[in-house]
Amino acid sequence: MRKIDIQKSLRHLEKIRSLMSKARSPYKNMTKQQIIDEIRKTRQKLWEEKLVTHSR
Amino acid sequence: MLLILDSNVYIFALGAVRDPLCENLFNLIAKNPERIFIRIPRLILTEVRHNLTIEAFKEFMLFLHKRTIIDEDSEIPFELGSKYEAMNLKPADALIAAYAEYVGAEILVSENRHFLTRHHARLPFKICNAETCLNLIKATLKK
Repeated sequence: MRKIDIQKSLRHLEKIRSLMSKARSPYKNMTKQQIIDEIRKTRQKLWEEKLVTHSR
Repeated sequence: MLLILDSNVYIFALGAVRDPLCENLFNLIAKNPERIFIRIPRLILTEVRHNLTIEAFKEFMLFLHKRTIIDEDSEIPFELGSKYEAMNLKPADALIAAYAEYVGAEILVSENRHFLTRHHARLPFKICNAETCLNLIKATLKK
């Protein structure tokens, strides 16, 4: 099993959050449930794209 | 303990709009690599990619690199997906549930009510939200 550097892992998370805090969010001013519903729409879209790709 | 995190948990833990419970859960996972394991299918990874910037996604991949393996959706047995579709889950949700069973996960963590309202007793894994999972992990780590 590969040795995992916990501090390095945490630094990755910190960097992701720092980068994302500067990013423009499509979910701004939405409730948690609205965001979950939007994420579900993305899932549905990706699924449909996958079906189209596999049916070709 | 093997966990499958739904895309909404990753997005609320790392994205631009965060939920403290998802953040805490993900931090706990990051701090306990010897006791808490995660696996991720391609579909969830793609959803996360859609919700992070390119640079943030690169960091996410670096995080995952040493931590887990990425499984292709095509590896998941079709029959397992059908089983969960028969439980009235949408095909993409059924794939995630099938994946959880396929890899022998203990818990599927999601904030999605479509998962959380399933009949848990019939499933080979638990389904819970970040808050419940956080409490379960804390209790396990104390042992």
